[in-house]
Amino acid sequence: MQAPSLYLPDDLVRDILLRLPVKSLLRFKCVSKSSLSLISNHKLAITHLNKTSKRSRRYGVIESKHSHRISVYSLDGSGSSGDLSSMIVEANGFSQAKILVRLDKDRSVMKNNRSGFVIWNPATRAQDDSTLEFLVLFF
Amino acid sequence: MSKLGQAKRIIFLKTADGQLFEVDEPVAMEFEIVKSFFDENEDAADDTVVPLPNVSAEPLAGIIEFCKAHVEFRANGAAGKDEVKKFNAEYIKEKSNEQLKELILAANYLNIKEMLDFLTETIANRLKNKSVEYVRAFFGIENDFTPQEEEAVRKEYEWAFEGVDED
Repeated sequence: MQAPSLYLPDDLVRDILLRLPVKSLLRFKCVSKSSLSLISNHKLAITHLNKTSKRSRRYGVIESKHSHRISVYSLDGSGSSGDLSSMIVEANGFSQAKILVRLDKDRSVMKNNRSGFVIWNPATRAQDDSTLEFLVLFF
Repeated sequence: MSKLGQAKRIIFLKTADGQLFEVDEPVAMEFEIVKSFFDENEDAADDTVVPLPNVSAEPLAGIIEFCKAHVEFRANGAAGKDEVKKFNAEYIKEKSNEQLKELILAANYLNIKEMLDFLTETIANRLKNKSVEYVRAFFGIENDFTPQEEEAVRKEYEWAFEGVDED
């Protein structure tokens, strides 16, 4: 008889998810309802970005509720356009990328009616992170 | 006790399944839970046995093997070098998913930061190219979507389902 499968506590599962690339994370939204809500959580996206940026993958995912587009952002305050182009190469699955706007604390929410998407500044939800510099949209 | 002070202190650990382990002090001190036990009980006798009620012998043996090697790497100034990567790769090569879960649960309980970090990364690497079904089985998570709901999520991220490895 097979030994019963071991369960990992939520915090370990979360730590494992945080190490996954964006593509895997999005796929694993299908695992269950709780993983869908966990992975869709903006807080997880921010923590994910902070973790992965240490290993030079400077992007994370935010979803726009209105357009189903995925935005990829960098929280590295010292980021240059050189860093951005390497981000763009790494974020496969997207055919185009555009640097939309540099954000500062006063312009946390931007709207672009022409293309129909909403940019939402995750830094306003991140308690101790005010370093958001720019936001990139991939589509 | 040698007057040169070279006698190595041994720490005694007792697992949930009643096995006694004799571990060199620097290795045992990698376990935060053991370290704080002795920090809080400074007068503890040398032959004090530290009970580990949440860890059984098999994962503990694996953990001691890992920590022992890493303590030596650090002592030899090899930390971060290829030698370490080779050891780590070899260490997980033959480990099953269940064994990895056992190890991470034990490392979590013993609070061994370096090993926990390594195991988290290892499991993420094992899962990253796998299917949704594989991940459900790995974590023992039941699919609570209706087929329609699951299909809707899949449709939204179609591109994320390309290039997935066989289970």
